[in-house]
Amino acid sequence: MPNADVDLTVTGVAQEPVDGGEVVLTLPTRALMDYAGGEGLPDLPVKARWDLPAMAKGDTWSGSYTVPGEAAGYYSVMANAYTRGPDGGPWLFDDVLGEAWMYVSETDGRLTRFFEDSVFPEGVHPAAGPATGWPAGPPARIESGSPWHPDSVYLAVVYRVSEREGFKPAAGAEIRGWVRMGSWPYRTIEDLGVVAVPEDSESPEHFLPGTVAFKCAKDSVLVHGVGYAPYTDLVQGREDIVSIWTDKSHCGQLVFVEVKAERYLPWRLLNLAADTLTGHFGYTRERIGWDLRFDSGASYYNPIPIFEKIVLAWLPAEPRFFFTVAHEYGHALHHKALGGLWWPGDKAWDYWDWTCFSHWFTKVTNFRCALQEGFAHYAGVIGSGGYYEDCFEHFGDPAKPLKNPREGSCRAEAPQGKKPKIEGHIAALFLDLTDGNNERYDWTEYPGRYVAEVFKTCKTQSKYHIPLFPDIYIWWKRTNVSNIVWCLENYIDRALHKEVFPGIRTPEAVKEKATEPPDWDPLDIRATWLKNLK
Amino acid sequence: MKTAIGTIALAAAVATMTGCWWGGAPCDSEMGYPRGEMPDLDMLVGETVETPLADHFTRPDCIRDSHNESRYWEARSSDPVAVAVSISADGQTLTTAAVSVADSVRVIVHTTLVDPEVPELYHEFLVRVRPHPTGH
Repeated sequence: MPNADVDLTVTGVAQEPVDGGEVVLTLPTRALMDYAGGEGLPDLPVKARWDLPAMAKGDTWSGSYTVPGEAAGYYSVMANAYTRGPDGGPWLFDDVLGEAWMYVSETDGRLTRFFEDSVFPEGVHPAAGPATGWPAGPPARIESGSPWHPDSVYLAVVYRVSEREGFKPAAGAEIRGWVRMGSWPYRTIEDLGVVAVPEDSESPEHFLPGTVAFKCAKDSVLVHGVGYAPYTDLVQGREDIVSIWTDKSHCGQLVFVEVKAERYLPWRLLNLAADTLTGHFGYTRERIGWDLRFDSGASYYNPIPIFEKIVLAWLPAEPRFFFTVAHEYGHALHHKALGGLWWPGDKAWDYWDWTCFSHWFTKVTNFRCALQEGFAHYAGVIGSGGYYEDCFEHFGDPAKPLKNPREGSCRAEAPQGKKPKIEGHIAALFLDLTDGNNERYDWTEYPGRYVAEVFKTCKTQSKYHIPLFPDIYIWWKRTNVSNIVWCLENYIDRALHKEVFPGIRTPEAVKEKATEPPDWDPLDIRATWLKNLK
Repeated sequence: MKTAIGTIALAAAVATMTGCWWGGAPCDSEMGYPRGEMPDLDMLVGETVETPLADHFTRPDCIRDSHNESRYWEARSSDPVAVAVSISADGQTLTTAAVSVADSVRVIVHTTLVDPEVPELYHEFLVRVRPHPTGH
């Protein structure tokens, strides 16, 4: 019921013995509504805090909090537990976060685990906050003396993936505004045009990151804004990522507009990854289409003409999701700008070999799959700004420390002689060829453009002997890592080839169209690839 | 030429049959995120229930692979005396065993591969254990 207090009980189970800790409860939707101006985006004030006692494994704890009554609407509640172990950790799950959404209607209420559009009756805009009046809800209170102009309404357009990351500006999204009046179908009085949500670095002075301004509504008219992710040269856009209405009560005020992360973030990360990879490799492809999936399937790149697009499995973990996005864009760039994909079976014609369709960093697949996926992992690292870089930096070397203990497989030793068939080792090779971390046997730091040129244009010549006929020589495009290393060296060491790449026909010659960088050195290249593949 | 066209057509057909899945993301970055809900259990003492993990976590194709041994999974009971839980050696199945009578035992299942800061990173469900009817 509106304005009725709600008793919430938070319950936790100790997964390991703990000496103690604390649980805090926050109300994110209320935090946005209460925001009173200041530096930066709003934080999440703690509404309730409990000290945890010492607990044995399996012990339970619970605490209660009365959420003050809210108007009819939809409000989020978050509980965060911080614990400490007997020796100070480390603990696998020392921090645990839970979120729920509280829907308050005129007649009753319900709690949902996620934000669900389906809880809203027909005609009510699915938005966080009060459902009474216009969907933007009440404006955030601004301290007197703030720089906001009374003839404008200010929209802080933000998204949120997790409590730790808090709110972030939905940079790059655009809002089209209209002055409208009446009820559906509204009569449009004036088109207010389009404004882009600025990047952090481009936010005007005194503005919060992600804030845009519109002329505000006067008298009985309303200002209606619709947000969308615009088409860019690199990435397909998306309509209707948010809708807001403001009235005269919002003049001179700041209104927070929360874009649902799953409607904005894939587009944003694709643009960032595409831009970074285009710059790194120096090759550009046409605009890529994309879609999201919420079932149990994998993200993938579909290269088939007319269906071509990237399909992303939504994960509420931005950094890891960013890696997946960049990985898939790596495939798309490879396909259209770096010489084309190949069937990832053990043989070019073996369409029944689907080894590559479920794979992981340490999996021994085949030469063709390992190069294709290894290159995409390398693109994933570069395009995401370094996610999994530590994983691939000393891939397969158990003696090297690992920053994230959950990535233990990154230090697992490969079976003897299998590295050229393991995608993680291919990714590590590409990384060592271009990165500035020049550890032992990695003295190469070549431009991404050079590596991309070799990867794109490398060909090897094979000899085929047919009895009673002259030998036949055929040039083949690269499909395995042995092709790449000999193209990089512009040389073939036949004995070494047979030792490191058993099962791959020894080429007669190699050629590529890359421009070698000034510090190009085949001995350095040899050391780098032997470090990663032998 | 005909052979080449046939090859391309076959590749396209295969790709279509497989849901146009090409260049799929690695298991490492996508597997193990909870999806849907794991239902509460109402059990009798002595009963066991086996639950396929692939039904409740992302990327079941990864879970089916030998990559995911049981060391990547953890299951915990808030009252191990009443409800015992274990993950099979191949990492595919959660076994819940009702040992003694209890009203409400919490069971938590998760993969150890996910980041701790990710919200909703484990499944949780309740188990009620009732005594066997008299005579059994």
